[in-house]
Amino acid sequence: MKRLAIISLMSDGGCHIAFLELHEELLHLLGQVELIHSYMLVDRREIPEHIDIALIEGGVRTTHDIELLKEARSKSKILVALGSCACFGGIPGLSNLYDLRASLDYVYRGTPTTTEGVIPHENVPSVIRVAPISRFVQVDLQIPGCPPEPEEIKEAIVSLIKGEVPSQPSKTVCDECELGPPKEKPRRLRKIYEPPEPDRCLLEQGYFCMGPVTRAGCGAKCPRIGVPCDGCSGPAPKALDQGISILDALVTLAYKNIENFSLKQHSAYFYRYTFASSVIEDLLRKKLRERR
Amino acid sequence: MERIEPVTRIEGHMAITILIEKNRVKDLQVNVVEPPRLFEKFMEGKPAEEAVRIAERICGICYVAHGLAAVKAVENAWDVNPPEAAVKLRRLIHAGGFIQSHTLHLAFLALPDIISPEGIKYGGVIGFAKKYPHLCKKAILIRKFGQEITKAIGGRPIHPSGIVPGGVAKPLSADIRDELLKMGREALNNAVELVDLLFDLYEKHDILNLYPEDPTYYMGLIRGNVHETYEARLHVMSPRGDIVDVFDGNEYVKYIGERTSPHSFVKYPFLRANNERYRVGALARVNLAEKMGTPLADKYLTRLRSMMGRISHNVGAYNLARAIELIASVERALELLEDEEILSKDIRAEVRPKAGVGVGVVEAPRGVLIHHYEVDDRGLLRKVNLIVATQQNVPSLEKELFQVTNELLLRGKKLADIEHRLEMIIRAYDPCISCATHLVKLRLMDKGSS
Repeated sequence: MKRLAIISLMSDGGCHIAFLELHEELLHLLGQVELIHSYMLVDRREIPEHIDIALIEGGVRTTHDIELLKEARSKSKILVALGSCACFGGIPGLSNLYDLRASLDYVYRGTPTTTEGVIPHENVPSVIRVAPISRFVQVDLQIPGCPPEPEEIKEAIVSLIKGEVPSQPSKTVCDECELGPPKEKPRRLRKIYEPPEPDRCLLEQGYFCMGPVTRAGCGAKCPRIGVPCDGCSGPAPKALDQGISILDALVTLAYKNIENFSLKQHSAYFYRYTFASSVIEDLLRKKLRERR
Repeated sequence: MERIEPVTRIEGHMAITILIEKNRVKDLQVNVVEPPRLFEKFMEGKPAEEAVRIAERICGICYVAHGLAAVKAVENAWDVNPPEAAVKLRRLIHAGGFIQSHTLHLAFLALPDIISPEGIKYGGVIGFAKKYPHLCKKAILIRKFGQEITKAIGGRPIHPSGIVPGGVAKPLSADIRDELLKMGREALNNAVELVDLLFDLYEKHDILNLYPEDPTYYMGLIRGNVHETYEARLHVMSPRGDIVDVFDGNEYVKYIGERTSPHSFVKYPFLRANNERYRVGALARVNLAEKMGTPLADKYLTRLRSMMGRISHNVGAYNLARAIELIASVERALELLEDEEILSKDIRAEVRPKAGVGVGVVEAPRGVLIHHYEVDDRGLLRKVNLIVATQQNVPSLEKELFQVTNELLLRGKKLADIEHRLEMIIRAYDPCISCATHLVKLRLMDKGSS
């Protein structure tokens, strides 16, 4: 039986929970593959040898994450980036727009409840800028999403067991959405707390909906309940860079409310899951290197 | 120096470092090595209404609680009162979150220890599931009920998107309500079976003896004298069982302080009034409550009190308290589903952003959760502070592990033998580590005779 391991780096554990979300089907899947490592589900501390499929949950945030990731790579035949943190850095990647020292200083010394502040440094790893795992190791397959769809995780594992290449959606959330795609330009910017008109594209109505540039596979669950897509699955293959592509989509729709552009504000929409793997992040890194 | 790393069957990354000198514990550190993601900083500058979906990503298990604390903080800052039906739908999704989280912990993370307290390993959840497939399947069905509720109201079972400032995004349809009621009635039967098994095992094998007693202060929401998780004032109970403080969420800074530790990414909360430790979560809530407010859960509360008296300080009682809450959550979900107002279409209040300060408090499955936002006149977050459930129990956990390790060493046990016992204590808290750093591993240092 093939050996499956789930290795967790910086994450909220939600990808593990997505795996459990298979409910009764999980018992069936675990009859087809041997789960040999998972901090939540298997009582084993070290990463075992001879892993056939390693699912990496989480992005890189500490030097310890890099060590675990490299160890996992060296012990695995196939390495899969599971979830948007592993694939793109995820929501924590938004942190890279803020100075790391200032962030640590605020969280550990500056909040209103902190009384005797010190930044942790003893028996804890060093904190570094958030990065997708592909910055450090070769990644054989990406299953993005926050969290990824349980069915997609299952189907990917089943394909990999058989030695097949798992299929990946090439379309966008708009393609899966019964409301889209947008055809006319929005007249004004709408916020998530404003009730939408029924049966009409959310982007057309002026909501920041990331559907046109976001990878399909979720069945457009958020637009379906009247909430704009927040882009959790990362860029659709044709979109390359999610943030720049949505800007492009909005400009194409002659969006008029885009003045006062601020990345710190709009990263909430444009780069919520992918900032750490964005081209702007590359530019920021380059600037930091030049400063040294 | 020895290090247990990582502690397994918990939700996150934690290590324990123990320094031993002459067969006594010199120092014990709970090292929360879960990478700090620094949400409190990078949420600055974001539109406040987007805080809900962003903050849910703090935790992959109690995302519902984070979403609710966030939305309440935003609504508090903007003086928004969601309609009664929306509050009922939020209470329902909150019950769904408790059902999924408590079942995950009780059936899969804690029960393997209780069924085999001498540390006979099943190889974790998977081995356990193979040994007890019937029980495992029932637990899966209880959890599924919780997740289906979250999906029905939130649009998806993990990181739901349907919690929005002003209310909830979409009304509940009668068809889905009927399906949920059917699932819920079966889930209640299965939950009773699981909880009976747990109580029976505790009584038969004297499980509480395996855990330390720790008389601490407790903090939690309580409505009148009835167990509450969504909206009420915070109450502080002394180790003797007296209510010593009652306050609104907005006043929390006056009552709660946080110390930082050089050896952990998690901060150590304390009561400002007396510098004392306090505990939160299922045991705190159950200690605070005179009654659960639902018929079956109240029977189990009576059973717990007949075992332990009015106040329980035993760490092992966390599992029993969680079991009582599981029953209460399923019963409450059923009550809400049977309430016709749950189908109301009046689920959104008008929202007008403005500058302001808002504090949102809910009980997360692991305890008191506080989101505190300052919003500027453009509706953007200017300052964020979070007090999350698990971190509030870490100071007590560290002290208890120190005490138990010392006692076991004095009784001649080897460090390698006590690892399992320490992990049982940690798991009783159901620590959710990604939340707490915003936590667990075991490292042992022996500078003794060797």
